[in-house]
Amino acid sequence: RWPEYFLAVESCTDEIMGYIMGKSEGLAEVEEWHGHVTALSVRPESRRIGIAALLMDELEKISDKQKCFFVDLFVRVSNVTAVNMYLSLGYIVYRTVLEYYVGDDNENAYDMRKACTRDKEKKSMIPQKDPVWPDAVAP
Amino acid sequence: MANKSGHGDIIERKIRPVYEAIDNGNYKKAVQMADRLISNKQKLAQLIQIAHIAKGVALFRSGKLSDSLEEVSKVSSEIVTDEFIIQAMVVFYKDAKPDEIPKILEKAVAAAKGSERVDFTNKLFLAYARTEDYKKQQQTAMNLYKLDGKKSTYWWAVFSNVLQANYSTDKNLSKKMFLPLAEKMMIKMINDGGLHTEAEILLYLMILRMNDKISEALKVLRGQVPEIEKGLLIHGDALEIELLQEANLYAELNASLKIYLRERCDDWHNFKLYLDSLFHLIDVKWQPADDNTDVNTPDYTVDMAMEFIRHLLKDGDGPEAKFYRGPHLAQMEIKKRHKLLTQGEEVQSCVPETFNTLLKDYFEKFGHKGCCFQEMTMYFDQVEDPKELISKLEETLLVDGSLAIDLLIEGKTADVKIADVCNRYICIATLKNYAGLYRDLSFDEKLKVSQQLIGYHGKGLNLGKDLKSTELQYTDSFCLLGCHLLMNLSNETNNGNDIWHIILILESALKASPSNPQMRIMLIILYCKIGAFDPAHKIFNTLAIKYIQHDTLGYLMTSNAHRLGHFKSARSVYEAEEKFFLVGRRDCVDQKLQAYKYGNFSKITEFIDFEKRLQNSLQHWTVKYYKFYLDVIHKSSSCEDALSFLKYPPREDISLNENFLNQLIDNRDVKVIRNWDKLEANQLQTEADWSMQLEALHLKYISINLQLLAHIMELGQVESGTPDPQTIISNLSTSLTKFIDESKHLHQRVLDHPGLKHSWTWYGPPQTRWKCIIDGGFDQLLLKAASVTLQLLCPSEETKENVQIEITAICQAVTDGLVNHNLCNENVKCFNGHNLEPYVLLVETLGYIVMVIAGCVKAIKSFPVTKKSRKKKGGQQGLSVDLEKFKLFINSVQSVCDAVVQNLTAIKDTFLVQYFSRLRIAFNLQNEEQTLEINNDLSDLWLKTYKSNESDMLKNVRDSYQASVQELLSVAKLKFNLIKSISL
Repeated sequence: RWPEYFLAVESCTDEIMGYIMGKSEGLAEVEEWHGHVTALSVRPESRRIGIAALLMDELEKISDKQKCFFVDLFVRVSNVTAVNMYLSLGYIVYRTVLEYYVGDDNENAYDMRKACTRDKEKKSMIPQKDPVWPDAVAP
Repeated sequence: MANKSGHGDIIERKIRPVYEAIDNGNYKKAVQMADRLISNKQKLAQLIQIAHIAKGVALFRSGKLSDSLEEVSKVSSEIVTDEFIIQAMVVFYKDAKPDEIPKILEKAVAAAKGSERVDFTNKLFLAYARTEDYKKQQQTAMNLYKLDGKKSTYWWAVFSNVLQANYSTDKNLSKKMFLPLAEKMMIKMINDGGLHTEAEILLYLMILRMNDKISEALKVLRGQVPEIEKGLLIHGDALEIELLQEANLYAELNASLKIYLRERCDDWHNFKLYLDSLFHLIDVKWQPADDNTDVNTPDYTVDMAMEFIRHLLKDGDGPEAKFYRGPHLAQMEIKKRHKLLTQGEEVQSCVPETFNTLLKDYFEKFGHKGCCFQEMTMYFDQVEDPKELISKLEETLLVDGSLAIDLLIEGKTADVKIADVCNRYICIATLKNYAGLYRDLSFDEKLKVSQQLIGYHGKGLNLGKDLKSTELQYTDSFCLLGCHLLMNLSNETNNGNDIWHIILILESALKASPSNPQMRIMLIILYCKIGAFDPAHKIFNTLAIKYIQHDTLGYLMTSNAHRLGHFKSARSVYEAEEKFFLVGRRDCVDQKLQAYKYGNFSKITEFIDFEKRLQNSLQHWTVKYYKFYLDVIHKSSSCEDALSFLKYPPREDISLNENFLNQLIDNRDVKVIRNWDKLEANQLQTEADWSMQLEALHLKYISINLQLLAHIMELGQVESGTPDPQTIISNLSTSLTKFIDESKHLHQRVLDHPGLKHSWTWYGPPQTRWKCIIDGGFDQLLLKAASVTLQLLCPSEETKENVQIEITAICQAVTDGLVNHNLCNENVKCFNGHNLEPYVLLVETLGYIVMVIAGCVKAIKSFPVTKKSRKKKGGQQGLSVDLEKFKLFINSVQSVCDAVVQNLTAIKDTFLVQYFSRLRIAFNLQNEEQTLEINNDLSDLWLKTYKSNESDMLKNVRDSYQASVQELLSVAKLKFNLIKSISL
């Protein structure tokens, strides 16, 4: 449904260096219409050259064109490298989602957000104090 | 449940347990329950119908396709308009026979009225879209448009014309009819109300491009058509570049790319396009129409391009400068292309620096990035003296006269980034390998390089001791390159024992970096190389491959499980793969239909092409036939068993003709192991091509073998009371003769193939099974057995004398095979799994011969052949079966089966246990018989790796070998029992 949100970066030798998958979702009436990062992946050899930032930038531009209010994503709280990268790209930790990642040891996620140009007052970036359970973030 | 009868709840309550039984895999129970519902006296018509369908689903899931189709046809042959029943049939036919779906809906459309008719017509369109009947989907879309008047329906009709054009074999018809019609329909809608969504505009652009009307498309894109809304295209800029390129509008393309590159100068794809357009403008001596000094003027000289690049480099002078790799690469690309343009005479003023200097500069700026090696290789060939460059690069690794990495490991410097230092070191090491500098070294020097790399890896693990298990260690690449070089060395010296050691090194490295996929794949390959499938399978499972990776990486398992005697695992691996291909195709179709729903027309053709690629995948057909072969040869304990396996797929599917084989597509990622050697990379491509060809020939081999068996088994099934001996013998003779001819032809094709004698890289595509088949003479053994059977069925004066010699020769070949691959042989000091593959082929070939004999005997016994009749009709070909010699043949095969069973029992019960109880991996120790001797020079590495992992590794390998031998023994016993039960 959202082919424009599926992007890949190729190397000079035509190998995939990284990709991003996303979508738009939420209700516009309550200013919840937003771009969502479903997956972002960069292969080890292609890290630290700005591929993730490039892909995120593209996704944000698409979300802007889709008239979204913000872009959001979920990331493991333990993935400090990724959390720091998103912070450096202007995202904030909007809230914590308890036991979002299910596995042998369930892990919490940060719901991180960045406002799109439509959200002039950056209302979408006012963090929530209390953590939520996964059913509260289901689209 | 929406149900017109008003009995929805009752029906749902009664049918639900049947579907629950199906979901739980209790197909037999589901069939029984459905039967009870069908035979219920107080019947509801809908309940009976849904019970028939549920029964069909259960039959289909249990592999009874024809029975399931027959069951569901009891409902589909009627005119059904009940949505619930139709939906149930659609679900069944999706997998069983998609072509039936439109037929059901056509009848429903004809019978329905009002909104129901609109609904069924909509479904009918999607049913045609599912089966790719573009003509009918176009007609249906127009009918639907007349009914519902929706624009989206109209676009379906337009796009159906595009599909007809795209996939028509008559390109003239496409150009003159389908595409103009599609465009006309679009224009009508534009004139009637304009285009106001991105999907509509993209569809129009697609049609204009297909009609070669690029300038019109550009007008649309640039918002110059009033009826078409502006600013709706999300990727409009990229599309414009594509269109300019397509239209060969180089000046405009160049100017557009300049604007783009000012923002994204690391986008190498577009930078190359910019340079392509530049050199085209130079080629045609392009000049601007007037003295336009606008910033958007294209660059049409090398100097202008260099100025642009210098400007980009200057832009990057700030703190972020180091991140812009594109302009640096572009300088080298211009220099390379300019050199070609001026036929080798470089124009100094263009890029005065030598490649040596440019690459050194590049390394200094980006050597700490993981991508540096790959990017430098693009221009490394331009360097006149690679050694000189490498030594210059190595100088940059020194800090106060010492290697930065040494200082780092020894803890003498903290003022550097660990990853940067490691990346710079490994970049140079890989460049050396790329340039072939390691290739020219002596054995000892090569060994030293490997030791050094693996040594650094070991020491470097301390640097990354705080890394998470999901992160790779800083020095993982050192280990990978070191092991890669060691493997090359092992291949050079043909010392298979080294592999055991390399496995231990990698196992240790993997413990420290459990997420490293390269290590895991390398271990899978190496374990399979020593014949140990189980440990490879366990590691493969940790990769957790999914979706399309079954097609690209599944071969790592499917090419080894069966070959190494793990038949149960092979079956489960094949089933997992088959499931992917089934579900993958179904998902593709569902996604395609979703794309219609959302108007993403460009994705529809992608899904159609993707589905075809899956359908024609070599892996798909390999899995299908290998599983089929496995069932027939390994699981059949009687002719009836074999026949039941041979019933599906249908006979016509067994025969793989040349056209079919030529259409196969190799989706396997046979270059998955990272390679840093230029020569090996070239060789790898050749190997990939050869592997594909040989795999296709192997499929043909299996197909020929299965065809013969299928034919023989069917002849044995002749209804009693109507035996026609002459026809049966004649048919057997025809099948055997066909088999012999085809096998001979195939044998010659394989012998002539250059890949057969080629020395394959250890990490490339899996070595074809043909080498072992040909070396062991297994295809010839089958051929001889077929030939003997033919001579026994239709004896002649010329062949009578020879047949006994040939029977002896067959048995001798099997006995020789046992001796040659005998694990108990005193001369075999090391069991390294090389024995397994020929052993599997030996048992399999013998099993096949037993099946052929059993089938022929069954066919013969379906009519009376007496001494009297032989005397009476002895002169007639086909009725003079040489029973005495046939018995001799059976007895001889029986005795070699017995020998194989005894041999395998001995291996299982004594040899493997004893051998492994004494086995250890060690250096050239005196008086230690059961050792896998490893070169003394590896001792330093060895001491660091074996202690912690040796016993685990040896246990895993031993268990794997034992499982292989046990499974081989089971198959051999099964066939031994079958041949014992045959009597004439």
